[in-house]
Amino acid sequence: MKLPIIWLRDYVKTDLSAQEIADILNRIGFEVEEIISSGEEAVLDVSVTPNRPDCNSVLGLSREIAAYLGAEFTMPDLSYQVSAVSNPVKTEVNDSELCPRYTGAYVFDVKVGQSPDRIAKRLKLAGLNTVNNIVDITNFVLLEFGQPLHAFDAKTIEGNTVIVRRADNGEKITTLDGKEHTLTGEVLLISDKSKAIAVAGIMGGQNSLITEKTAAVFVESAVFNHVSIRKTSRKLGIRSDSSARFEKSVDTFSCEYALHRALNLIEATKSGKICEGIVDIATKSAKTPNKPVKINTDQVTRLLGIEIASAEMERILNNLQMKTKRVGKTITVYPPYWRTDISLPCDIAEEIIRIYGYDKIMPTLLEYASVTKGGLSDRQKTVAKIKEFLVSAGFFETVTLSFAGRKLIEKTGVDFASVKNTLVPILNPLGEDFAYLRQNNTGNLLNVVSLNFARRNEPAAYFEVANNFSLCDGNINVPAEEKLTLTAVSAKDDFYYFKEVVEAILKIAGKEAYFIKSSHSSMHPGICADIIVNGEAVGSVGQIHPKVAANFDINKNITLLEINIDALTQQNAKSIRYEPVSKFPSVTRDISLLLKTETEVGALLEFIRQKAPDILRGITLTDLYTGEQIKEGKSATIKLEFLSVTRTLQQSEVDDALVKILEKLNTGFGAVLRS
Amino acid sequence: MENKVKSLISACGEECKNADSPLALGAVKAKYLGKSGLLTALLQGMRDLPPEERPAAGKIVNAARESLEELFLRLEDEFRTKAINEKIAGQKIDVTLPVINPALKRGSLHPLTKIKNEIIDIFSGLGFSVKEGPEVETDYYCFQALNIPKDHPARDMQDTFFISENIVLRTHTSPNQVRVMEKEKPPIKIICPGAVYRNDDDATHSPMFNQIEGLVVDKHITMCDLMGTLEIFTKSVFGPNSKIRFRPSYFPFTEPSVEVDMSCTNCCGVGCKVCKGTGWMEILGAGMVNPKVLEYAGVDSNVYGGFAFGLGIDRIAMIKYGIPDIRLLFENDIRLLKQFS
Repeated sequence: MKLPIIWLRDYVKTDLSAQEIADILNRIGFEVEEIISSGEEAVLDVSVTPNRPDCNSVLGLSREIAAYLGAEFTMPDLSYQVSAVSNPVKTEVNDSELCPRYTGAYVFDVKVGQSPDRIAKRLKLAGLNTVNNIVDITNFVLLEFGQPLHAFDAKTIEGNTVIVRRADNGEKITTLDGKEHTLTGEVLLISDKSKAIAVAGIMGGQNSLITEKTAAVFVESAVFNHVSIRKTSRKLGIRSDSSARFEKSVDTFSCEYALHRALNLIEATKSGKICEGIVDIATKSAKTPNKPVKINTDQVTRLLGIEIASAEMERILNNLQMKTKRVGKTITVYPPYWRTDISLPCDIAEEIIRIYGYDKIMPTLLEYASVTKGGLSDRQKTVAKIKEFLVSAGFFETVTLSFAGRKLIEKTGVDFASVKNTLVPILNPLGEDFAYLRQNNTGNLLNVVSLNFARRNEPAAYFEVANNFSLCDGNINVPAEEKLTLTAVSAKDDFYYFKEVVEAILKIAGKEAYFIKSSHSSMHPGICADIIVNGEAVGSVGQIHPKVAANFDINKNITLLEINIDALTQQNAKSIRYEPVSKFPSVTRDISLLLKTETEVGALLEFIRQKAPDILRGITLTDLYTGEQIKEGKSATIKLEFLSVTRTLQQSEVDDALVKILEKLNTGFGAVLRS
Repeated sequence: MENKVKSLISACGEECKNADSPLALGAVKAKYLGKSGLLTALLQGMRDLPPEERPAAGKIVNAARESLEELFLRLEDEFRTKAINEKIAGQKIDVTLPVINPALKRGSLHPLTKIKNEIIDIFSGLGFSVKEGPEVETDYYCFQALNIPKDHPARDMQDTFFISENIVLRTHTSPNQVRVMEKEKPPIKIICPGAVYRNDDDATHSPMFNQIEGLVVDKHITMCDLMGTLEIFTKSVFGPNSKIRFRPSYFPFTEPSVEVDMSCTNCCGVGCKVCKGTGWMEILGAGMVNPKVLEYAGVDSNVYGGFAFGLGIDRIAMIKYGIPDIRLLFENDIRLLKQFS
């Protein structure tokens, strides 16, 4: 809202400079974005919050300044003479829900010409162009009162009837900017007996606009439903100073005074004569004044935390033109008609404190509050530990945007068609690369690797803990499924390093896992594993498929890790219970086994674990050899540790156990002892 | 006996002086204290003494044995020490040499996580629990329950991404506060961190950014408490000299509502380019919880009240670390990430 200082001074007695006025407005809740020009030409560009539609007007802001200063506020002159001629126009309102109040007047003997300096100057400073005296007056009052007006060339009103009605489906109108619109039944129109003459509250029709030939004018000052205006404005793609104000809601009383003001100005500028028979069609609630609000002064003090004398409270409210009646600690406050935002005691408290001054609020530390236990949940603590571990292991945390586009998804090796129904779509995305929510974080992290690669930064490892999104049963009408996932990539570490990382992470979460060969759309088919915890796959680790890496312009081996944190932290970790340390010495045996090439060593070790006798306490792979010395297959050296907590083991016991193990390994895997 | 012992001791001492190696010393030790050693022989020779002389003689011989053993221990230790010192005499390293190909290379947390953790620490200490909620929300929790009805102009303050008519990407983390209020009874002190989404994209706005919102609900909470709590936050994050001030504003879910300015970190409130000469920078939105919001969440607004505040983690990070463009935070160039190790 552009507020010219000279216009402000028409209503408030003050010598303050533009800067000083700006300071006051900032202090009481209206941010001044800019002071344009200076001296007589100074204009404040004021930002008005949506709860104060009354301040999208010069009068509104003037009242605020006057209230703060306790200065004299003068309403503009609303008086005019009514001639003996009767208003010939009949007015009907067919939809009182969309138009709760309609006032209007007929002006004859109209002389269309230039506006006087006084009006033209203020309009120009406020950022509006001058058109002619009639249109300028409607604009002037629009800015002055915040109430949109419209003037119709009365001759164009067929049948001398103005009807406020909804459009018929398919009805057309050409607005005064020359554009033709085809309307539907939700659009509210001003029409005459046969045609639409304005899109109500938004823009007048070209067929009824004021020209230099206009001899009679019908002035409309009405209230239109803000939801309807907002919908129509968006639908037709028209925004005006008028529609902007209706969208934010205007009160149902200002329209009457605004009309009087317009007529006053028409008379004062000798632009026409006013017929008797002012139109006023209103619903009962439109004429119902604001309900009074009762406050308890103790309540206000409790909310604010500082003592303000009741007399001071009343003084502030009265300066804001709210009448008050005090009985003991109760003050009944009567909000004036232009304040549609006051209905609760906290609204009154806000009025009091913003004028009294927030600089009077002194900090206290929750003096009367209860003590509460703060901090992180167990799951959050586990995530924090996992992050700290990864940082110590040399990983860099990234934060990427949750969006993904089809291109990115396909680059990661995923078949778009097969996942389309599970992707969360954005109806109004920023662009095609932001059309969905990501289902996994592979693409983003590969982009990070790619970017750093292109910038010749050293190869590194990255991780991110964030949500991945999928639709629940393909339904966009319920909130999507969110899986908190750890995703990590590395341009310098290999699969086995990541395996160590996974094991450490699982330890932090109090879990144990094993790895099984698997497949993954983004991974090398031979270097890919699922991570199994309690029989359930909680993630994958593997090397990025070279084709996928190439898609991202990366010519190095990239390792990828994904772990579903939700699945990992769902069940409680096993509680720790001390196991007594044995007093007796252990016996270790190293065995070298000749294995077939395709034997999965992990599975073999697990097999030993399952089948071994109690006394076998430790199984560690210490070497894996393939090469010249072995024609076929590979050699695994395993250290076996035997121990008893009750006795010293005999060599013969250990020998027996070892023989049995070797037998089973031979049967199960065709493994033989290497000579 | 005494004389015999005395002469043995002095002879031993002489031979020890001449022993020039641990081996030589060992030979002397064996000569005197070994199985067939001279002093050992004396001990055995006590058998031949009359019984009444044995105690006294025994005492003398044992005392001698102890003193010789002490002597040998001391001399052995001297040899050991000498040998170690000779060994290390030539050992010297260049302590200034940097580690080549270090095994322990630290990564880093993202600056946004660092700030988030810092803020969580501050509020945890005040009794706030950390509550996270869904990023894809219903229109009800994101707007209606926060006193922002459909078609309300306040919705224009936040450009929303829609999934469907009633499912949105949350534009603030406030919906989670409503969810918590529905599940838990006051007293409530929570902070809700998380990613939020708005249809915005320039140097200071990203379509996805990160917020932390706080909520306190109890029986007697004042605006002075709000100021005190926020002051602890700014002083902890930006230093003990930082000041804050309230300016009236509007949010549909708080009444009264305030914008919270902090003294400019660049010029300490004097006025500079960063703060456009005002000496203040906008850092937070806050206010007393609107009773309507409490009622939506099933909390009796006649008994309970409280305050809420919200801040952008990205903005705080940009101010604290001097990062000029929000998009740098999501680019993840390692040269930026490394600086937060």
